[in-house]
Amino acid sequence: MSAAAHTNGTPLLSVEDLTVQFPTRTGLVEAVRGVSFSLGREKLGIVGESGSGKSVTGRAILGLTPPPGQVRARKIDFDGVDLTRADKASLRAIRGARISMVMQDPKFSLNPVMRVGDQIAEAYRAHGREAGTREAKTRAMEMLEAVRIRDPERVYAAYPHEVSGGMGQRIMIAMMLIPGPDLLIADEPTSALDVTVQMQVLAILDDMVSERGMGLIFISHDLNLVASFCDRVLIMYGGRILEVCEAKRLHEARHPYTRGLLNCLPSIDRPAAQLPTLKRDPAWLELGA
Amino acid sequence: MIEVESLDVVFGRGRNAVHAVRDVSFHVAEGESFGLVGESGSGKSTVLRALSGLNANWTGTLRIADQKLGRRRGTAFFKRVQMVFQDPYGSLHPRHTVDRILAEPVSIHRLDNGEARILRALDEVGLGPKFRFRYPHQLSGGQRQRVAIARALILEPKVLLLDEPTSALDVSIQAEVLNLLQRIKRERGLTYILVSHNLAVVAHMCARLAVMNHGEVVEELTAEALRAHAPKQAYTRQLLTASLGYDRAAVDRFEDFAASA
Repeated sequence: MSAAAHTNGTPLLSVEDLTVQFPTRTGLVEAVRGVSFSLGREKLGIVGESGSGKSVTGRAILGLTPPPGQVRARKIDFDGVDLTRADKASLRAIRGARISMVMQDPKFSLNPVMRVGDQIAEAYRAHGREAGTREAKTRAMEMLEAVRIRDPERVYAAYPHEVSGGMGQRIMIAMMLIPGPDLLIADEPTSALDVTVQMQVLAILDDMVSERGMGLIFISHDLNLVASFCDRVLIMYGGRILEVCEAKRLHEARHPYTRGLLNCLPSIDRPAAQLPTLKRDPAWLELGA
Repeated sequence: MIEVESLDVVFGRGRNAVHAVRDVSFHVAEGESFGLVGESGSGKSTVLRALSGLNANWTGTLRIADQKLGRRRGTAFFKRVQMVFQDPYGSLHPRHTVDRILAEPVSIHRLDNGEARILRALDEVGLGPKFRFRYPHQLSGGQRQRVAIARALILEPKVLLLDEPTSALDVSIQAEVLNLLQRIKRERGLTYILVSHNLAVVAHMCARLAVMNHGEVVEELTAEALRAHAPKQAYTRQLLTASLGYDRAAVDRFEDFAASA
């Protein structure tokens, strides 16, 4: 697969031949098999069903593969640094500060016994900013406003159990964005949210990409959402990339798997007596794009 | 077939009272599929749980097949009304085989011919006899949901109450389960109430639906009106816009629809 168009010049991230394996009692499971792609300052969607390897790919970039998983890649190049070969100190300087990650459920990502505002301020101070507590607090407040929390004073002092799911996800996003990362990896960041809140959270991410030139990897199972939100889409199946499309033209996708997935979605606009089901072809596991 | 009139559900009391369902009324004809749509906390599942007898603290009038329902339901009620839950991982006993899961309702209702019923139910949901002695952990999410549907069908009910039956499943599996539900409904002439947050799923399955927000029915409309993008209420229009995909400009026009006092 050749990496397709970027918005400008050299890619921010380029991944070549990424493989992630997990040893199990019944042998090696290859969760990701030879994935290559690159990303500019754009919104890249990674779409697939459960078990397709989309989340494992996102975590492997940050070096968050849980043991005993093994990650191999020819290179994972982030702005001139090869993340597979970088030492721990330089990884620490990148992780969190320049690449950060938002997970699906804020309930499990926030510290339950710390005020959410203090957690955001801590993220600001932990990632290389020489800031005093007061400045960190001011910046955290501004960030809460940036993610459109109407009453930042109150929310700053709240504990995670006192905020709703949508608010929690905005807080997570504020925490991930406050160090000013160049790349945000968002793994199903809005799947647990109501549709209207989901759209509001996406608008925040969208603005960050267009205003600050951040790169975004958006991992999702929702094809229609990715088609309407992202610039480019990778479709994964069985640990491989089957197809890369322009998001706007996802509905013209060629691969039978992509077509099958699109067809089996019920639609508000088109009534159907029966939904077409997906017939899986074993060859999809072998070929890849 | 199903009549809900002035249903109110309140949890807790005094200052801590939460009015989860406020004055909800709707009718569902025999053989119809009726959808209840809303965001989390809108009260849609609470309506279903009051109907199914899982919740006793409701007031109002509930009727199924012209019979008024009380707080406690007897076996005759459950023979007629069955429920399928959202999470196929949580709704099946992890240490019971599929055979035992399906045999339990048969023995509770003292039905004869358990063996034949189990085989028929498995066949009907497209699993077949080879799944009979497996445990839930040996099944995929879609297969588990089929077992949950088989367990509901084995009593030959007239009404199925479906609470987000496909929201834990991948879209390709969702299509298979929705098709299965449609086929069973046709073959057995069942009446469905489908609760979902997914407008597309409800528009596909149901001819009529009610949109709920903060415990109240905002609007009752047909799937056709939804397809024509012609809901009357602003809340429903906003929900529809958000369900159709991401649109940066539309997000700025979103409003907060607070509960009416």
